[in-house]
Amino acid sequence: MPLLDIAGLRVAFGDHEVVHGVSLRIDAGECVAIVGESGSGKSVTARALLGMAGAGARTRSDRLQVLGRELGDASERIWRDVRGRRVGLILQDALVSLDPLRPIGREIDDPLRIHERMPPAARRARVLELLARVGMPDPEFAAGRRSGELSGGLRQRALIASALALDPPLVIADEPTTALDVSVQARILSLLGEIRKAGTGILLISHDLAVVSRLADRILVMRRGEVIEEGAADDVLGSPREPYTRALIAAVPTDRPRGTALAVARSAPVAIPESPPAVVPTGSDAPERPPLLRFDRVAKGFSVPGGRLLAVDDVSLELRPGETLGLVGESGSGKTTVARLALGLTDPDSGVVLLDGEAWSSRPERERRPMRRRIGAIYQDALSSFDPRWSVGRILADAASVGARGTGRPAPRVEDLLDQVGLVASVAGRRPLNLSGGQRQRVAIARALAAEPDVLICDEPVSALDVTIQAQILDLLDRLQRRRGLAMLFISHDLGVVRHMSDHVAVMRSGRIVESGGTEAVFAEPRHPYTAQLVADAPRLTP
Amino acid sequence: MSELELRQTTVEASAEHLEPRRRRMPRAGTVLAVAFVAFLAVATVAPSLVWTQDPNRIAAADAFESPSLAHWFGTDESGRDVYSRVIAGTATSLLIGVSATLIGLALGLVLGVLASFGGRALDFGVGRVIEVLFAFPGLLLALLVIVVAGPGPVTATIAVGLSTAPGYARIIRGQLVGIRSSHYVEAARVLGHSPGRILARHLLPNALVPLFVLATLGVGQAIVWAAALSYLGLGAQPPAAEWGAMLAAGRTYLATAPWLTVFPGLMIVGTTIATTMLGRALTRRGREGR
Amino acid sequence: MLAAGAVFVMWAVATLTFFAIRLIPGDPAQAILGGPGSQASQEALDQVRRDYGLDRPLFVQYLAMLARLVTGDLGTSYALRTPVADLLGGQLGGTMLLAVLALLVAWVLALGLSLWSTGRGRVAGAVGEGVELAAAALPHFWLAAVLIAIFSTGLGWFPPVATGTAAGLVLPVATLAIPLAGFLAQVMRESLLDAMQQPFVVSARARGESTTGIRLRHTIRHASLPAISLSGWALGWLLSGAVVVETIFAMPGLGRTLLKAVTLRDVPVVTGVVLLVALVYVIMTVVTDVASRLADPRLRQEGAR
Repeated sequence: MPLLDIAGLRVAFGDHEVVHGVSLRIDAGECVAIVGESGSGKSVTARALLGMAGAGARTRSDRLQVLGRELGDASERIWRDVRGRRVGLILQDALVSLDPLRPIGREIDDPLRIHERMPPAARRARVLELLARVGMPDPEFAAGRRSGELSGGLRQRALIASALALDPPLVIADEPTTALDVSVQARILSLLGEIRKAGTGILLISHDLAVVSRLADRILVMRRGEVIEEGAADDVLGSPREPYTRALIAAVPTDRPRGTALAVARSAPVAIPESPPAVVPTGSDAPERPPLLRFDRVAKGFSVPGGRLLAVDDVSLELRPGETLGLVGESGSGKTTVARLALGLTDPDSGVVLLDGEAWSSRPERERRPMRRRIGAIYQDALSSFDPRWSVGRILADAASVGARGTGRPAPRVEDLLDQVGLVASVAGRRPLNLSGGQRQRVAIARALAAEPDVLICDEPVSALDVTIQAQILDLLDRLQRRRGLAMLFISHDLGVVRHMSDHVAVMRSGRIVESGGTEAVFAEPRHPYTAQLVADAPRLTP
Repeated sequence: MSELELRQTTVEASAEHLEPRRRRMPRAGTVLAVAFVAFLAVATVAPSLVWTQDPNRIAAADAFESPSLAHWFGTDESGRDVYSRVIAGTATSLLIGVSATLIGLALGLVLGVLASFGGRALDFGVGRVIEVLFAFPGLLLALLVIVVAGPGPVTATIAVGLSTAPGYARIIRGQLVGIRSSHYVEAARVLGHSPGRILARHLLPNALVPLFVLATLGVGQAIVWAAALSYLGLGAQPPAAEWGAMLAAGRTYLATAPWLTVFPGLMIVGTTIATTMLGRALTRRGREGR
Repeated sequence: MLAAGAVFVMWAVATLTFFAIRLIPGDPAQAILGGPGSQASQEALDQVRRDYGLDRPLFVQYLAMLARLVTGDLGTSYALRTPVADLLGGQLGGTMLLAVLALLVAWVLALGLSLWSTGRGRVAGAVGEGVELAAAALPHFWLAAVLIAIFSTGLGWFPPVATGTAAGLVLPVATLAIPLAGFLAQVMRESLLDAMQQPFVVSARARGESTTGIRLRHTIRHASLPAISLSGWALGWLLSGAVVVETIFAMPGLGRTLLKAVTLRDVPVVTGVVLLVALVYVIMTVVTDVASRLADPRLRQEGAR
């Protein structure tokens, strides 16, 4: 008997159907993954399997069986009995998926209290056993902590423990590792692997093919509410049939050499790059040129209660024209402070930042201001970097006027700026709020380039985007860099993205650069153990 | 916290929780609020258009008539028409409310701008001043001002203005600091724009809509406070047709002629509700970027 | 840290009040003897100046006032010639009872209304929002009059003036509590709505928790947090409202004493009430700060870091 057997599942909100007839079967000890981008209906599908598709949702199905029991028109009471006991749910980000006001021990105890008549002492023992099982150090102590008092990895373990409390035969994991650092992500994935090995069925929901490839036996690819491809993981990843699946796989930047296009035209084969090989030589070919941006033993600290935190500690970097320097590190490593130092938004405590051989960090703001147009920036959250009252046209015209100032050249036209980032001219009349994430990032790039800078600082520019959109933006950045000979400081937590984009890399940890050098040299033969660990943990497609 | 800050935060929060509209139809509540404010405006500028008779016409024979078709809100002890007197009092009540708001807003702006642009020491200093003023909750600061300056409509107006100023100051400081540390102001700095240009193109325009919302909410609150002072005999005095003073005059007859109290009070309640609804509508419009 | 801030605020309030009072035009000695109309003799005025220390330099008077305050001496009423501390001490209890009862009632009303109006569809939400909006717009002086008209003159259920009995407290407490409940319910409903959209609610439902269980164990606690931190403000607001309510219901208390003193310009009494209310407010701020930290461990962490 399968753990889960559904056929023809449809979910609609009002007259708007978002899931169009999904069929799915999971057996004991099997991991089935649903992969899709935002809006594909994958999360709604997962929730519908718990009778929780959402307020105002109508769910219909030909068959919706959990452990052989038909639940197609089950009442809320029957569903409540299923939830937690038959099916457990693991969500993204335990900081908000566990009640921040309650100790995690109470949260893990909840399913026991709701479903089982167990004496408190037995429940207490079970909670500690569960915490030990998910690898929580010192369960006794941890049970009394709240989610905010634990690290990201530990609280995600607690969340998993609460889903496993009654040993449900099936666990639904909805983006269980998203927003975690890669090293933590790797450990959580192996924990899920152990659970599967113990015989629990897992439905894994993720946007990340690389994560899925580590765990899934079978993969379903969802797009716009439909399953468009389905099969054994090796088949789907190794020989995808559908163009969309091929595009998803091609968009994963890991192990894809610099200069190859990630986004593919719908019918094009994967391996052939969209654009011809580099015309402008990249930095590695031209080492003679002096660096445009240089960090010389820069340190920057912030006072925190109880001392001083060195966010950037003795960092030296060089960025040459036409070259991309990748800066990779986990959260809290000081990457963003480096970006702010490079942009002259904050001054170093010691050391200097030089722009084209001239003083940059040590200059008074009044003198620095006319030089600012030479350094542009794009950020992770493009929307908040636009004045909410301004249209796209006004944003770009404002930036273009800066580029023209003092140079005597005519300001670039808004239409041309939009055109070079692949947007139609009519976007000029719209507000960023009404654009998609990818379009917003394109506008941000157009704004950064409007002032015709020599250096572009990219701080996590694609972290908030779907993979296929991410691929398009990365391709766009790559193309624009070649065309204009831009120097780029590319900051990201994503090893795959950095590796794909960079000529040189620097690996950052706790404010220090632990290793740097040519991208392939560093990643192929890491010298520092931390780099080696990062490379080992980085999710990659393993068909 | 102050009452004003509470009103302001709930307006902000409720604008956030409203579902997006399908069609571009204003909400029924907004329409009613606009209609009410328009009516108040007419009653202020040209009261004779909307009153049914001379508000000061005394007719002893008609004293204490309960509400009827002839006298919508009834008549008072001298046989004057209460509806017409409420209309006649609109100008005074609104004048007091708007002036008090302007005083509070102006002081709040000075303190708020000083705190957000004047550097760390000034910010700290202004913060302490505001904190101390908050220790005179509600009407208390206004009462203290009246002890010093003596009762009367003018001092009551100033008193209400002064006692609302710390609330304005803290909200304005918060908003300015929020805009100044926003990513879009940072993006403008990265482009190399001068502080003056950033002030003119980003800070002021973005601060304006919330400030307008704040003033709208403030007028509602100021009218209530000023009426409370009048009611206590410290602001406008009967026989003035100011709403609070009318309420105070009606107090003696509460048992026999409750309409003398009910209707002027309803105008105050209506004005407060209308300003809150308008504040919400404005905030929502600002959010939706139109 | 909190205590130091509280002492600073109290000192500043005392200082501000002292110097503000000196701005009053006219001779304080004259005011003590019944105002300019009293035609007091020069000897009497001199005598009063000596008695009240008004002949000393302003700064000395200020220091003397601070010294007296520390010992709890608030001076002597101009009008009643009795020590202000005694006068107010007898009235603090009644006013505090009124305010605290109103705060509790407002809490219960607000919690009930916000729980009823959330998660029950559009109509209930709109009704809840409308009731809150209307309640928060009700001025005390009008609400009191309307309540008296309905429940005293109309139905005869409760006395229109405070009688010192429990029944006499009903209308005053309701007058103070209803508008406050409107404010609190607005805040609670917004935070309930916020909490209900949080992922931890999805987690809890997925464990099989019922709607009631989710409210009891999760969302109510989140909704209470902002209301707890508002309670300091609320008590101050209630004390200010007591001026109106005590006057209308003819209740003895700080508020009515303050109003009388304001009308008579009885400076020591005004100063005394202001200081006392400020003290209550400052203490309450500290109390709500501590309570917020107890209820929300996230605040404790921030404080510690």
